[in-house]
Amino acid sequence: MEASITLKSIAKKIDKEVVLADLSIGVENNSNHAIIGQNGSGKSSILKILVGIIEKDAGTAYIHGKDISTRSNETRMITGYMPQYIDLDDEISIYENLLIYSQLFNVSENKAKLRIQNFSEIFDFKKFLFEKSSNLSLGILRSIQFCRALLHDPKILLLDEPTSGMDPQHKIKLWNIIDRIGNDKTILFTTQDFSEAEKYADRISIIHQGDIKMDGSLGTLVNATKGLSKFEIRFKHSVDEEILSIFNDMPTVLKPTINGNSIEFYSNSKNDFFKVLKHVIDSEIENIDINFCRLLDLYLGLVENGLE
Amino acid sequence: MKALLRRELYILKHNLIPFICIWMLLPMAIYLFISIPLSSQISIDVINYINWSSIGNAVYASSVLTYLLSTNLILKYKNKTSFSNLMLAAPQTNSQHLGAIIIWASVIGLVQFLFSIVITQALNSSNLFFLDKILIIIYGIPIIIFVSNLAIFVCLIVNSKFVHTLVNFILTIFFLFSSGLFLPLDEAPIFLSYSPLYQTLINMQNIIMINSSVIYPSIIVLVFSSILYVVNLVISYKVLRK
Repeated sequence: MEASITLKSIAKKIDKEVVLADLSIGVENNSNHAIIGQNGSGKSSILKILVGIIEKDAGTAYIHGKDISTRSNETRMITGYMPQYIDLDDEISIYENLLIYSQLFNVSENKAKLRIQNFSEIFDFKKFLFEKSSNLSLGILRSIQFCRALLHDPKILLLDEPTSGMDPQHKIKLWNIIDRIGNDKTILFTTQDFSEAEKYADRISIIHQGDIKMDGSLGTLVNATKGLSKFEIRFKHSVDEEILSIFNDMPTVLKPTINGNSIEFYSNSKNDFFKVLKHVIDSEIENIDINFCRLLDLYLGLVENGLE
Repeated sequence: MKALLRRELYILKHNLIPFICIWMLLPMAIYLFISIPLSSQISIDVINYINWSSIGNAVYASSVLTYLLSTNLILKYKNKTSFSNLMLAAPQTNSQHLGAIIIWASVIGLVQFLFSIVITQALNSSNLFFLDKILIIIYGIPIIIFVSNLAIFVCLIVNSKFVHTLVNFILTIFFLFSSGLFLPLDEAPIFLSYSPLYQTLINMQNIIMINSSVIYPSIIVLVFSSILYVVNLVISYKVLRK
C-alpha cells in the first residue's frame, strides 16, 4: 500500500538530550497507525516534527510525497494536529478560536461556521462556544481540540494522546468519529492506552529511547512472540527470592520475577509451567493464571529488556 | 497573515476599554511628568517648550507601546507557549508571523501616535494645520515600524531575562535623554547627527516650528527597518522552531 507519511533516519536532540535516534517509519495511506511508548520516548516529537513545530536535526520526512522541510506550507495545509496539552487561546472565546484556526487553513467563513455548528452539536459544546477556555473542563477542551483539528477536513490527522483527560462518553464519541472518517484519512496517533491501540489501530509501532523497536499489525506483533504465554502463580504467603533458582535449568523461560506473593514468567512451553508447578506444589497456592502475550506484555518486555 | 491579525483584533475587541485608557493616559502622563517639569528649565527659540515637546511625546508614547506589544507577541512564540505551537503548526511562514506582529504593533502604535498628537495639541491649545499633522504622522510611521523590528530583534537574540530587562532599560534612557525627544541636542554627537532616526525626528520638530522638512531620512529608516526584518526572519528560523 502507498505510504502517506514517511520518516527516514530522523534524529533530534533537545537540550543536548537525544529524543529521536535514526528513526524510520512509514504510515500507510488511509490507515490508523498508533505509536506507543513511555513518557519521553519521543512519540510527541515525531508529531511535532511532522507539523513543523520543531525542526529535525537529520533525516528526511515526507507527507504525501512532499518533503516537510521544503514544502512545509503544503504539508501543513493537509494535516490536522491535536497536541497532548491544551493549546486553546484563552484570551478569546472558543468560537473565535475555531474561526481563526479555520482562517489559518483558508477555510471560508461560512463553511467554518457550519462545521463549528456541526461539531459543537456532536460533542455537546455548543453552549460553551462563547466562553473562554479557562472556564471549561479538560474533557470539553480536548473534544474542542479534536474538532478543531478536523475543521479544514485534513487528509492526515496527527493526534497526540487524543483521549487523555476525556471522560468515557467523549472517548467513545471520538473513536466513533475516527472510525467514521477513517476510510479516507490517514490517522497517526500516540497513546499510552494499549486497549485503544489494540482496538483502533491497523498498525502499531512501539517506540523506545527514540527509536522504533517493533512495528506491525497487532496480529504480527503478537505472532512475533511465537506463542509466548505469561504464567503467574499466586501464593497465600510471600515468596522467597531463592525460588528463582529453579529457573536456572530452564533456558526457554523468560523474565522470571517475583511480584508480591506471585511468581511470573514467560515461556512458549507448557512443560516449563508444569516443572515450576512441581517445584512449588507443596506451597499454599492461591491462584494460577495463564495468558497469551498481549500488547502490554510485549511492550513491557521490550522496555524492561526481558523479551527483546 | 489575515488570521493572525484577526486574532489580535478579537483580543482588542475584548480589551477595548483598557486600550483606550492606555492611549489616553500615556501621552497625558508624559505631558505631566516630563514636558511640564522640563518646560520651566528649557527654552526653545520660536515656540515654547511644551509645544516643541509634543513631537517627543507622540514618538515616545507610540514607540513604548509598539515596543512592548511587539515584545509581548514575539515572546509568545519564543517561549514555546501553547499559543506558539498552535501558530507554528499552521500553514503560515515565519515571514507571515513576523509580518503580522509588526503590522499589528505598528497599527496600535500609530493609533497611540494619533491620540498623543490630538491630546498634546489640545492641552497646548496649539493650532497646527491639518496637513502638518498628516505630515508628522507620515514621518512617524517609519519610526514605529523600526521600533517594532528592533523589539523583535532584541527578543530573538537575547535569551536571559535579566539582560533583556537591562537592554530595555538602556533603550528607555536613550530615548528619554539622548535622542532629542525631550532634551534639545544643540550639539548632537556625530553618530546621532548622521542617524536617519534622529534626522526624522528633527524633521518632525521642524514642522511644528514651521520650518522646512525633507522626506529622505524617513525613507532611510524604512530601508533600515526592512534590513532588520530580513535579519529577524533569518534568526527566527534558528530560534522559533528549534
